Amino acid sequence: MGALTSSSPLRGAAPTIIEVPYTILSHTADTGIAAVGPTIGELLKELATGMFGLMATVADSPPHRSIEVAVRSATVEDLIVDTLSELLFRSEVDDLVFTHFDIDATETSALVVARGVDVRAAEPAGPPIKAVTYHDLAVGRCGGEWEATVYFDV
Amino acid sequence: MEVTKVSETVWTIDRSEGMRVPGRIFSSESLIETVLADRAPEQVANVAHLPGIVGASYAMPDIHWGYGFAIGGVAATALDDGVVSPGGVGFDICCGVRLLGSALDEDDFRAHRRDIMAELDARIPRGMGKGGIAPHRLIGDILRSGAAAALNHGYGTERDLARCEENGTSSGADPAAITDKAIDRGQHQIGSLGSGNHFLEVQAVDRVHDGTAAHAFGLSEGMVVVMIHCGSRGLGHQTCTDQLRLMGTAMHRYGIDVPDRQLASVPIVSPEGEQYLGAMAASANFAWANRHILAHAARQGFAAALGASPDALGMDLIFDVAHNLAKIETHDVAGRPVDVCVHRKGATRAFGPGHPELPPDLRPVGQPVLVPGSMGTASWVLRGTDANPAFASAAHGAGRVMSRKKAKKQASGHAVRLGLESEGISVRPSSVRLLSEEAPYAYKDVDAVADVCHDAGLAHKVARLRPLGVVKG
Repeated sequence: MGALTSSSPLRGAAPTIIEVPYTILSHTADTGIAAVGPTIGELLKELATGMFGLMATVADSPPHRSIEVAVRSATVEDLIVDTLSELLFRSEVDDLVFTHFDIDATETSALVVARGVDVRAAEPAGPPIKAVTYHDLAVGRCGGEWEATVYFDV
Repeated sequence: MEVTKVSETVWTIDRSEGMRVPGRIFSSESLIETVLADRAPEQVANVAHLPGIVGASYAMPDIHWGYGFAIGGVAATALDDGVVSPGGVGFDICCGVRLLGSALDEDDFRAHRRDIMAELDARIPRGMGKGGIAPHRLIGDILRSGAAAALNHGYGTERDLARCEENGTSSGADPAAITDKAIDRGQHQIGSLGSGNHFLEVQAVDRVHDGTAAHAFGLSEGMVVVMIHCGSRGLGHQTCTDQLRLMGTAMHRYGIDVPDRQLASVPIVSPEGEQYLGAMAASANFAWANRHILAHAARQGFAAALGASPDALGMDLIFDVAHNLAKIETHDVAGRPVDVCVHRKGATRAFGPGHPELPPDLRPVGQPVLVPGSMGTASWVLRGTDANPAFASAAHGAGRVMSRKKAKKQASGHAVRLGLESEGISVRPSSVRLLSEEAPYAYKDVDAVADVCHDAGLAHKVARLRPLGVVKG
C-alpha cells in the first residue's frame, strides 16, 4: 500500500495524500484509477484490485476459482494495458469477478494468478468496464515506488 | 488553449503547432461553459494532428471529455494520404440507436404499463455477465451479414433492413480479422443490452416540429415509440483492444506521431488500415444484429403484454443509426467531391435530402437522426440537412456533464428511481444502485443540444420524444 502525494508527477493523480491502495479518478464520461506499489508486480496488483473494485463488491465470499495469465509486452506502459485487458477478458468469458492477485512481474512481463468468485455472487459497484485505454496512461517511478494512472472505457 | 466564439453556434480553436487543421465546436452560450470546463477542447485539438485530416476537427454540441477523441468528435481523413484511427470509433464499435414506432398511444401504454414493463424487464438481458437472447452458433453469420443474418434466423422483418443505416449490414466486413478472444467475449452476448448508458426506453411523441418529415418517418403526436441504445458488446470492445495493440507498433513504421496514444493510427490504404476497417465492419455487423434482435424481443414483449400479435401492434422500425463508426464517404471539399474516411466518435451520420444511400421513401426529407436524452428527459428525432457543415454529422445524445463519481454523490440510486417514478416514468434497472450514475442531472440539456443542431444546420428538428418507461442496462 502506498500514498499518492501532491508532488506526484502523474497527470490526473490526486492532489492530496490519500492512504489507500488506489484512487478513483474523475472523468466526465469514463473512469480511471491511480495506484502505487513498491514493485511492478505490486503496482499491477493494486491496479487490478482497483479495476475490479470499480465494477463489483464481493461481501464475505472467499475466492473459489483461480486462473493464470502470462503477459509479455514491449514496454512497461504496454504491460499495464495488456495485463489489465487480459484480466478483463478472462473475467468476462469466465463470468468471474477477481478479488485476489499474486503477480510476478518485470517491466515487460507478468505472470498473474487471479482468484475470484462467480459474477452472480458479486454486487455491482459500477458499470462493467469495456476496455483499458491508453488515454493519459502514465507509469513511472517516484521516491522508490512505482506509480501509474489508467483510464477505462465504461 | 484559446477557444474563440465566431458565431452564435460555432467556437473555434486556431491552428497551433502540430495541428493540421483548426478545431470547430458547435455549441451555444448555454452549453459552452461545460465544454470548456473539461478536457474536450484539448482532445479536439489533438485530433487535428491526424495525418490527412480535412477541413477541421469537429465537435458536436454534446461534446465531452472522452479518450483519444472527445465524445462528439468528428474527423474526416483523405482516402489517398490520410489515416484511420480506432480511437475515432471507440471500443463500442457501431454503438447506436434504434427507434420503433407503434399503433399505440399513451393511454394504451398507461392501461397496460405494468404488464408491458414486466415483459420487457424479463426479455431484455442487461448488466454484468452473459445472457444474449440468440444462440452463440449465429456468431459467424452475424459477423458476415449483420441484421440480415438475424433476419434469416427468424428475428425481425424484411422491412427492418430498409430502415437501417447501411441496411443493417456493413460492407467490407472481414470476420477473419476478428480474433478468437473477441468471439469468445461476444458469442454469448448476441441480443443483450449491456450496461452504462445503454437502455431500452418506451417513449411518447411529445411534439412534432416538422409534419412532413414526421409523416415520412412514420411518427405522429401521441404515438408510443420504443428506443434502443446499445452496441457491439464484448466483441467490439475486444476488437478495438486487439487493433489498438497492433496499431501502436505499426504506426511507428509509418512515421506517424500522435499526441495521445489512444489516437494510434495507420494509413487507410495499408494492410493494417484495411485489416482494421474489415474488423470494424464485422463488429458493426454484430451491433446491427444486436439491436435488430433486441427490437424483436421488444415486439414480443409488447405482444405478450397486450395479448396481440406483433404485426397488429404496428411496431415498425423508424430508423437505426450508428454513432461510433469510421466510414468511407464522398463529400464536397473545397468545391469538389473527395473520398474521405469520416470518423464519428459519439456523432451520428446525418445525410441530407436526396442522398442516394437513403431509402426512397425517406430521400425527399433526409435521414432520421436519433438523439437520445437521459432517463427522465426528452429525446429527439432530427433529420439530415442539405448543407451540413461537418461532413454530414450531428449530435448523438445529450452528452455527459458530470463524472460518474460526482453523480453518485448527488443522490442514491433509490432516490433517482423514486424521482423518476414520481414523474410517471417506470424504471426497470439492472441495478438500482447504479441508477444515480446515469441520472438526468449528469447530462446536458438535450433540448439545448437539439437547438444547436437545428440552428447550426447540423440536423433539423422533427419530433421531441418524452419517456414513459426505462429498461436500464
